[in-house]
Formats: sequence, structure tokens, C-alpha cells
Amino acid sequence: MQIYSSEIVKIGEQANLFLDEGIVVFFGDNAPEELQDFALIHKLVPITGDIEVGTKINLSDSNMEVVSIGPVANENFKNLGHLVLKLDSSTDEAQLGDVRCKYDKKPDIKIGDTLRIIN
Amino acid sequence: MSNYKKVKVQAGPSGWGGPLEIQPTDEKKYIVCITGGGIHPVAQKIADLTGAEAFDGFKSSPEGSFKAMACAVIDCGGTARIGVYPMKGVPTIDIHDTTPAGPLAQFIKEENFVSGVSEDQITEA
Repeated sequence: MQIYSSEIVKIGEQANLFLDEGIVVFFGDNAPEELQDFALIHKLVPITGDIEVGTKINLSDSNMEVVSIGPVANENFKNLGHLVLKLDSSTDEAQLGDVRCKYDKKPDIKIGDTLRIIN
Repeated sequence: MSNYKKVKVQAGPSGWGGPLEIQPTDEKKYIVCITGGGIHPVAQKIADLTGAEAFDGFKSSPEGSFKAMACAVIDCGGTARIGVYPMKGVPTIDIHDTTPAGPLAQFIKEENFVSGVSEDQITEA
């Protein structure tokens, strides 16, 4: 079941600082300007479920699957549209707010691309 | 002359960094809260003790942006917000138990960051 689907509306000027290290940082379009600089901004729509181990995430041309999730990740996503994906395929315990994923390829992200989260 | 009082913010039992002394001034007069769910009690307590104004960073940006922030209160899970505000020179208080990490970790020091903070760690200085 799809629990979230939205569109990337902005790519922060410094988002590459994180992307280069395999970290995808999202904020909703209500986030303060200083945070938007470092993130991918998606149009906020309601999320209808929790991200869990095994959740599938489709971003641009990349297919990911959650292998580990931090205890505050869902809360941050629901409250702020804030999501941190770590593309390292590691099954080590995720940091508090992180969602660790395995993936088929690193995403090539453009404005207008979609973010879909499916349980 | 500003009439703001100073507060001391210590790390929680499992936190890191600090202690920080937060002294708002006429130029840096906002306790900016960048958390889910409006003004967090930690930001409210700092505002109450110092006499500065608590400001919800998700509703709008304070006039003067970083230069007007006495401190930033975040609920960061350890990767993004944790580094942004220290990098911009804003003393940063995380309510979660985080330690420096992420691409901006180099900017996070004991002198500008403290984590694991609840209302109990905030005292008059």
C-alpha cells in the first residue's frame, strides 16, 4: 500500500554536500530557508502510515528498500516532512533520525521527480 | 541596554557537548525553535528565563535570520539540522541524544552544541 507520494519541488544549493556521501535529506516545503539549502524539498501531503523495515522507497530513477530505521525517523517525517535516507545498505542500527536503505542505483534527482513510499 | 538574563544549558545524562551559556541581546533576541509541533518546552523555558522571545522557525523566519538568533532548539536525529546551525554560528540545543555526525560534523563543537537537553538542564546563570 502506498503511504506517501509527492513531488520534488526544489533542490537546495548545498544538498550535494549530503548526496555526495550517500545521504538524501528531505524537508517539506514549509521548512525554514536555511534548511532548504541543504535538502530536497517535497510538496507536503499527508502520510498515511509508518515507514518500517522492508518499506519500499522510489525516488526518481532509484528503487530503495529500508533495512534499518531510527526511533525518531517517523516522527520527524510526520511532523516536518523531514526524512534522512542513508544509502549504504548497512544493517547496523540506524542513528535516531535515519532510515538506512539498500538500493539498486544512486538516484539522479531532478525537480519534478517523485518520491513514493510503499509498504 | 538589553535586560535579557543569561541561562546555562547542560547536556542531558546521555547527551553531548556544552555547557552553553545563552545570553540574548537586542541584536540576538530570538530563541528559535525548529522542531515538530510548535514551540518545544525547552525553547519556552529558555525564553521565559532569559526574557527573550520564543520563535517557531517552521512558521516563518525571524527578521535578521541567523544573526538574530540567540540560539536554536532542534529535535534532530543526528544528521542534518545538527550541523546547519553550528555552521552558521548559532548556539544549538538538541533535545535528542546526538553526537557530531554527518557531512557538517566538523562544525559541531562542545562550545556551540549541546544535546540530550530537557527542561531540567536549563538553569539561570
